[in-house]
Amino acid sequence: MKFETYVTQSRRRLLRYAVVLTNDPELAQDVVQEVLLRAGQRWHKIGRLDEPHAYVRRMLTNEVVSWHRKWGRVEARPAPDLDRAIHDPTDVVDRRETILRELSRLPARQRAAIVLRYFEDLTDAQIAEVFGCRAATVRIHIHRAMKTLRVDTTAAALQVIR
Amino acid sequence: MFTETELREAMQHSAARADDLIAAEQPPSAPSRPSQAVDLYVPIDLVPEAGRERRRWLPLAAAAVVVAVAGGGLFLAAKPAHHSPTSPQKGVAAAAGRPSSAAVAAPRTAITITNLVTIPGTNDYTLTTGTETLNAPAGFGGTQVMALPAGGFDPAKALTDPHPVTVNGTNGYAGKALIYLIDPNDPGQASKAGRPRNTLAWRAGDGSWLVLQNIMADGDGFVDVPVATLIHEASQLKVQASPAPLRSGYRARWLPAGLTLTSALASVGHPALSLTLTAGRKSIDIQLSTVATNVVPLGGAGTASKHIPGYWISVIGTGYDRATAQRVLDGLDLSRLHGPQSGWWTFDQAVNG
Repeated sequence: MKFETYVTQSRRRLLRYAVVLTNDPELAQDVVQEVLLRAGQRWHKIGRLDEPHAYVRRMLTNEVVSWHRKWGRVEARPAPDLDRAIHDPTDVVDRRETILRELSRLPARQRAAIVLRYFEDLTDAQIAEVFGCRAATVRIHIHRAMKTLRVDTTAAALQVIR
Repeated sequence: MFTETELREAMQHSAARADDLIAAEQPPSAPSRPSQAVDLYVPIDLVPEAGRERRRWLPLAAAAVVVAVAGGGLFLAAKPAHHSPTSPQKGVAAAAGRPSSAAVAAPRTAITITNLVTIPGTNDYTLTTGTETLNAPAGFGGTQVMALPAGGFDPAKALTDPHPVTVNGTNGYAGKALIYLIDPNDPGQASKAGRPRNTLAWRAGDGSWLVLQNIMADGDGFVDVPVATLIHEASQLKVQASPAPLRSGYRARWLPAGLTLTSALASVGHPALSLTLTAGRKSIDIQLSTVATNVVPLGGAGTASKHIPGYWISVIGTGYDRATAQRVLDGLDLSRLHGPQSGWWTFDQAVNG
């Protein structure tokens, strides 16, 4: 696959993933740019992989995780629609904003694990490949994150037991 | 308490902001160079400033990096610069002045790469510290050869269930390995994505290890070539150990101090060449392109480029200002570029010119 073909097909997908991962559209844009720049320089190798997107997604994930590790806790700049003070009578928007805010406060690796699981729909084994760790470690990240987020983990717990 | 459905929906809602970003982008207007271009931003520098610390990017017109492509007219980024108006653009400001005087008398540039083997018919060599990767010549399908120094490879560790084989009368091993897993330079072993495949390892005449894998995928995923096929292909390769060094069609007469040559993309008989010199998190990339598939900076902080007959030449200075990149570019000796390869410079000469 040519680099330009990959970019055409996958840039939007990468940017969506990065926005969810960072909760900061501008940072997401920066990181995607940088990762694509690096990927383009190595495309003679990456383009021949079985799954170039998996490789680039891993580069992106590691970039975000290492970015937060390097710069420490950086407060994300939520989008205006996440900052408004208008009361939502249905509570749906309020709950959505709350969960996104809590998500952005998770440790980078826990957040990445959650996004890879519930946004990218990866399995524990696939997430483990992204992180370069064991699937059991991924399950620990997700379990801790779900506790922090106060998400009902009944189904997730059953899945772990299985 | 939230539900998993709420979590999924919240993330989908958050992701929709990416669509807004893409919708806000404008296509590039009247590109001054190759009409099909992908614009990427490069960081001005990696030095954090006070306050919110994040990488800053130059405006499109000033510092875009153009990845010229063969077709498609892709547009990667038209994001307006969002650096603070109160924070000076170091690179642009510095461009008006002189490069740092600390680098005037640059010490000798160290080199950590060398070509261990040469395979006739192969024109694509990637040299990094401790490894050399070659795409096998035409007719060998999608196999790739990696050469590693004698002490730089342990088949017992790199291969799963290695078993002895013979390649052209030389003892070797076959086993399974993840692609590039044997490459110590693969950043973060990112290529772990994928499944282990048949891999062949044997020694060249000087003791260097040669590792052969099929790296091509088809629509259903990777193609796991049988070991017998790998052995057959390996036996057909005319590997020359301890070869003449690969050469560069240009040399740098000035470089910032403290750099080490850590990577090169080189060809035999063709001057398309990329050199990467690093100093910690800083790097200087010198890229020579004959076709519209390489990164070509338009100019701006950290980048400089020019066009001479037949070539685009670019310098990308990550962590360096534009003046430094320009000085490197201006110092390139291109006098032998159009001459025979025998007159080109060794890597040592190329970075210590």
